[in-house]
Amino acid sequence: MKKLSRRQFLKICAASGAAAGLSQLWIPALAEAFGEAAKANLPVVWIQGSACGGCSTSFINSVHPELREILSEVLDLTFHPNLGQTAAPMDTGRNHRGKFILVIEGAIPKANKGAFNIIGEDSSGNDIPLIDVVSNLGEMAGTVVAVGTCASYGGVSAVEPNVSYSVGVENLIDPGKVINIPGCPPHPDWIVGTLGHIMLYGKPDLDDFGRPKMFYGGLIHNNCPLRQYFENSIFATKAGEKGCMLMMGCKGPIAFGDCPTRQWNGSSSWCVSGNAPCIGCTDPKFPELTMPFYQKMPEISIPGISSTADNIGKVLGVATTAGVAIHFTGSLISGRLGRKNKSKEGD
Amino acid sequence: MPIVINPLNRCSRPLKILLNNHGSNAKAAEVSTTYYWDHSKTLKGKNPLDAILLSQRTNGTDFISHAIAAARALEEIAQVKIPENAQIIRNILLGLDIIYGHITHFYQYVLPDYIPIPRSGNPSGVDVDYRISSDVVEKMITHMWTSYEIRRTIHNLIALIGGKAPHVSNIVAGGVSKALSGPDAIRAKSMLRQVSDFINREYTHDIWQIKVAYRDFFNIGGWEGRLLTFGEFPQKENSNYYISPKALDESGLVNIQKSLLTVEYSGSYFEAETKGNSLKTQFRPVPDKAGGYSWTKGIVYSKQTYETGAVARMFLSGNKIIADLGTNAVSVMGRLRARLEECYRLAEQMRIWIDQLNPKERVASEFEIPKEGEAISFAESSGGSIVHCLSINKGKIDIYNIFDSYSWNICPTTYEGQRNPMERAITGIRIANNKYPIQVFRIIRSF
Ligand code: SF4
Repeated sequence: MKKLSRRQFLKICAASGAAAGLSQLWIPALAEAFGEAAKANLPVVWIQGSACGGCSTSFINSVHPELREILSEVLDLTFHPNLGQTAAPMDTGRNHRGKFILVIEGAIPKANKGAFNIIGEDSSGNDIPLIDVVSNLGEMAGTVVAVGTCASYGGVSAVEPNVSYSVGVENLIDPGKVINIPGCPPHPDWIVGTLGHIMLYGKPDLDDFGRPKMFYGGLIHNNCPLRQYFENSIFATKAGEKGCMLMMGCKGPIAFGDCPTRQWNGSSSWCVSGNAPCIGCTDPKFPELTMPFYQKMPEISIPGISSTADNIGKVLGVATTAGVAIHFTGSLISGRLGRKNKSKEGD
Repeated sequence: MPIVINPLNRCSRPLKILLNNHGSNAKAAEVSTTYYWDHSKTLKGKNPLDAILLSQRTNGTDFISHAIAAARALEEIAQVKIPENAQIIRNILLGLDIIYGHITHFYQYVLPDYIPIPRSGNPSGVDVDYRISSDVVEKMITHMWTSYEIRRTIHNLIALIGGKAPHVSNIVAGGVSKALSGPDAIRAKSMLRQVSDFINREYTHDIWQIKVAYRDFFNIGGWEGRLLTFGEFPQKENSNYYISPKALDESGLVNIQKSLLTVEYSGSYFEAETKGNSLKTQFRPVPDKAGGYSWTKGIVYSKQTYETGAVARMFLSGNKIIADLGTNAVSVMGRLRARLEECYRLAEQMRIWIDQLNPKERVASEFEIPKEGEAISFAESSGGSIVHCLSINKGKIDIYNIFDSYSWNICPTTYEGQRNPMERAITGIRIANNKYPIQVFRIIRSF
């Protein structure tokens, strides 16, 4: 029996982590999802690519304790194929073709036929590049979840000159089955919530950059507790000063995510509450576009548009109630085309 | 037939291990990292301040160490002293990061080599040399689940001080961006108590069980045992928890001179773009380089490889328990014991640090980053010593080389043919089962 409707589930996912009443529903709903998956023997295969390991760290230690053990029924918590078992994920793939969920953490280097990341070797001693494992498993998987900005769009590894030619998963696998969960690292709720949604109802609604709308629907800047300072033009200019972080380099006006309302690590803090700017880590162009982290965003020029954070603020100020308009502005000022537009261009 | 383990997981990054064996004896060994993970190219040409945030992305567990090393490099170039308060807050964060690393190391990486833990990749039907009785094992598995709870608590505490974890936002050039408020200090203390309780009860119990059942591993996994630490936890008035920089070589204890640090990359997949072997060498990754076998850029002191980490810090700072182990300190059990020992000391010290914070004092010194300058900075991390080498030119980063615990403990073979500590530690050991060389896993994962 399905206790929650999809609509209810979405409502819970979208709610802030601090809303204790709702998390009492959220835990059982997810527990049910993972329990069902375990019963149906629907495995989740997690592969670590070129990464710092922060994504799995964020995930494993912050996931609600009641969920962790249930999750371990469908997911190997070592997060990496075991010794001499590089073949194991492939077997899982073949046995559950078209159904299993593939999770990738980290970027995939394409240069030199993938020689920048050798994930193991076969029984005859030949190197197996990560890129081959990801492409093969990706093709067999029902759904592919890219965890972290590296896996989603390349992230820190893909910064120019990108000698290893590192890319995100959607560059290798049909973007139609890829869900991106960017963040450096992502919030654990974003990961478990997305997995739960896939298990209970299938793929969640995604924005133009493949991110689940239930978590990435809003602009950081719109829900920021410091927004009042911004409106009143009270800006911090040095570490520890009271005020909006815009002049300290805040990328909240271009970054999507629910950090200000969900909050991190036990629902009591996030980057900005450390008296620091948002560094825009969920952005498809992080960190290339959002560096220098501590400098006020420069004028952003896109064909036909020239804008500064200040007048973006003005635009947003009058448009706070029109969610769609804000999203539009946000995507536009990020200076990129979403994957929908990209595929139209035949890229 | 050589034994190849590729990949060995449950390490801070996956490793490849190659053992040339002679029957059941390991003759020569190679230990290496398997992928390119280096931020030098990313940081070149960037604003020097960005290094504090970006270098944290070197390691999802030891991220505070990198943030602090990066901040120290900038402060050294500007010759700025940070306020006492900032020093203390950084010490607290680093202490938490190290405890987090030790708990992760033991419960996630090490433990499954000693007790059967479901879904941790242990093979069935292979003799894995398990020695602990099943009722105790059950208890230890419960503790393993609790360890995740404690890690969560530690990261909540790091986030309370530093914004979020992994990867904090509050460490800035000149100090930190946020003071710890009175109410937060009280919360921090109560969270710390939970962490201490876990260390004193569960973690202690489990190390004890393993130590008793696997006493022979005090004699396994050693090597020549050159140890090094750059020291840590600076404070204006020398606290009772200050580790001074030191190294131990064949001749005894020596003081460290920065000028004796050089890079070793001949066995790596990096080629130098500049001459010499100073830490400022600029590198280019070449995955098919002849003679290359590792993605780790090595670092040596006085042309010698050194082991860094908790055992080095505890031994060199004269911790009684570890020093009393003598040459057995550098062994599988010695390393595990040293990590626990460090947890005791840090947990105790952290409460004192919180009390030493002065809410009326500043947490950051203001300064401009000079347009030109060079620095080599250090920080300790749970796994070992971290070195950052920064050179600023025309206000931008010209060179940024990061060396971490792997740069020491698995430094690729040196020009002079010297092998790294991990390779030395597994060379010559007896292997019971070539198909599942558990002794090798235990040694490698003890680092
Ligand atoms: S610019 Fe940053 S700190 Fe200021 S209101 Fe927007 S998100 Fe908040």
